[in-house]
Amino acid sequence: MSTLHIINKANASQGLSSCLRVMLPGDGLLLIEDGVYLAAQLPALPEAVRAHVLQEDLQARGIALPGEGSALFTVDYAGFVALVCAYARSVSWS
Amino acid sequence: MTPKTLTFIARSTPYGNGRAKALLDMVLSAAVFDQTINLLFMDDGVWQLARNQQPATIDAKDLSAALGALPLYDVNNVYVEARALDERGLTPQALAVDAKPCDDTEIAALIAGSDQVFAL
Amino acid sequence: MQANQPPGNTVVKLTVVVHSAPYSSQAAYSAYRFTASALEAGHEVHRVFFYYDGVHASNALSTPPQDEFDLVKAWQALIEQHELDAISCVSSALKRGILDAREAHRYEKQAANLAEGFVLSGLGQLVDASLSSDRVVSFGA
Repeated sequence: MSTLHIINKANASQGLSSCLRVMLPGDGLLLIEDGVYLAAQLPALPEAVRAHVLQEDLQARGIALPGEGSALFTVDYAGFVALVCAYARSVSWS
Repeated sequence: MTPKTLTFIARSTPYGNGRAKALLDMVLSAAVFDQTINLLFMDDGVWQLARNQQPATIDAKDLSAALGALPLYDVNNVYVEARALDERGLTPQALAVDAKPCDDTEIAALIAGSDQVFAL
Repeated sequence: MQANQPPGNTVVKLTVVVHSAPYSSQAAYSAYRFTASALEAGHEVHRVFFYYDGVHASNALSTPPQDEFDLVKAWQALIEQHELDAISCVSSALKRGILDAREAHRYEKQAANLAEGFVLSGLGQLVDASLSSDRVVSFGA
């Protein structure tokens, strides 16, 4: 069963880079809080990893939602809850 | 109830903030529940394992000494991210506490094999 | 694009852990929004555990300006409405000056300030909740 990795910091070295190294195919990534600043510069993801970004936190910061064709899925808080439930466990890399 | 696996990831330096101690307290609390406990030091958390810590100089408690007591609590699955040691000029042989060096694949497996994961 | 959906309409038993303080970190607010959304979706929030700086959410003396979101009040309303089990870690709370009447008496302090709805208890309550919940999600620090 796969893992949801939650990132809430804008600096990749504060969580994202470590997280990306230990993700497995089928895992999920969710950017929240200041983590949404990474949406525009997300490095290549490991195979079969779905990446999501929290809409409320994007909008709060004046960052455009990912457009059509983006690899990022936009979720609201209800979607955040659904993700936590859909994956077997979560890791908050704060 | 079948035993569960709880994995704790220590990612913070020992004395600059209270997170390292907070995570250790979680580990020690979990240890009395007779579950499988993994403790993994990653990123700046590997500084918790440095030798010769003398935190009395700043009126702090010695975290590495507390970590040394983990076997008394039957916490024996102690791991350290090999890359993080290397990046900071530390070696697995020169740590205050015995910890098994792990690569990315082994860390991924630790997480995937856990019921819950706590990182601080 | 559509995000992942949970399997069916299953009720999931959740534990929420809060590590950060209101007004210092957005994470304290995120935890609140997440919990409210989980309840709205019909999930069971087994326990909310406030740890480390997170215990500041249980300080009854927190007095934000009127035009700012009052996170302590918001948690209290959610706790009351859903009869949530909301625990502030006793050792984190005492160090940070958050005491219930019993601790205030024990340590001979002049006042108690644990917000109504919250309970002081030990870290074992976090471990216990984690072992009996389907999912644990941590916020902040």
